[in-house]
Amino acid sequence: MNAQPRAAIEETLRSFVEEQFLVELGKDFDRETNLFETQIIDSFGFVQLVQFLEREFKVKIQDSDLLSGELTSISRIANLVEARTYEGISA
Amino acid sequence: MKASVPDRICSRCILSSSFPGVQIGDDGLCNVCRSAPSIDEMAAIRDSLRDAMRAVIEANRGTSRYDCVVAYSGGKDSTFTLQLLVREYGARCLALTVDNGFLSDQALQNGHRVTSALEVDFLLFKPSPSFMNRMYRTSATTPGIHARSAITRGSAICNSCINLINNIAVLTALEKSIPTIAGGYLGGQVPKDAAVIRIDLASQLAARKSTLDKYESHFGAEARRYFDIDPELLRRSTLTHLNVINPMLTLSVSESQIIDTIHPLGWDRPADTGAQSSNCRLNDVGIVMHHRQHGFNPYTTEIAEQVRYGLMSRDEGLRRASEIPDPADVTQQAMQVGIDLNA
Repeated sequence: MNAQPRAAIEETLRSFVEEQFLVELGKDFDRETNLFETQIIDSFGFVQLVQFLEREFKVKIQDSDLLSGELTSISRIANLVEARTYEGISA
Repeated sequence: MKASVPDRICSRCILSSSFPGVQIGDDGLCNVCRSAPSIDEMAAIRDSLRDAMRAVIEANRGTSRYDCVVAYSGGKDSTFTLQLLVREYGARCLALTVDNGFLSDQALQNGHRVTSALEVDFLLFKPSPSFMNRMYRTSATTPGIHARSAITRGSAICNSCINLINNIAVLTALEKSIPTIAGGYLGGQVPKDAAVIRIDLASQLAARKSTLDKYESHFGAEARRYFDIDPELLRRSTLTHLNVINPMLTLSVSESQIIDTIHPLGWDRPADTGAQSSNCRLNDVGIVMHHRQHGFNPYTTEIAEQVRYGLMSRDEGLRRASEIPDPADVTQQAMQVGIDLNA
């Protein structure tokens, strides 16, 4: 498995968030915006997000990730995807 | 002056270029159809979701007095869901009906008949009418209560009500240590991945704080009574996770097949719930308000999904999506919650 460059991960996430949640980067949110506190993503959206990450990036999302706050913004989600992808390659 | 772009409709489903997030390509297909699994791929996905759902039911069978609490509205889809879980999966179900104050008499009668026919325990929960009316009125008239994308799933009235019912189901599961909650969602109403979900209760509690604060500020302090989960209840509960299943998302079943299955259980279609709902007399008010605010029928996504997968003809889909209730027919229900449709 080849790791995607960071910029490509963020771009994929941006595109997903904009298309699924009807928002626009720079207008409704930025890369650090907490997508849950701002209610861009609701509980149904959360299901979509987790499934998207697992399908698109082949990473496993753990229960602990939900509590850790790592899935809240584009930037933090990209961190998690990068870390998990790296773990997957080095494992 | 900006030239107006003519509205284009997808050649496969019914989504139009004016629908939020939809673009029609040169091939005539919308972006949803282009990225959607084919009918065969969808059948395989459903098979796999069905296996996953069965595994969840088997893994938790017999761990509590009930295997499953079913969010049972008395409508056709949740009735089909209930009979499926009982008859095909052998699940011991508790049917939970939330009477929102607008439950059709026929729907309630259907609930009594069907649960009796299936020998299922039936629990009726009726929240405070004044709270419910305030919630409906505020939801329909105040923008921004729900996530923006929620407008593609349902009216604001419906979204608030569904969130409340989901939470009452979670509370019931926690109080009675029932490991699984079942809903009667169809494709297009929620993501198909919602067929089988495992939710960590502690993280749910943490994640919903901002939503709860918003509901409290809009609906009043009583919102916590219906939308909050007491951490003490969670601490006392033997459950740390809940399984959420939506069996209809694992099946390809048309409306006529649903009716043919549930009618012998004593289910009859109510005459007072409008074209789309089979349990709620307020639903059409939600459709009228949604159409006025957003310019489309809140059932469009659901109808499009049925057309996409051959469960409804495209002509029928287009007809149903264009059917907006006459406000004059729902004035009384609207007034009951404090909405003046003539304003």
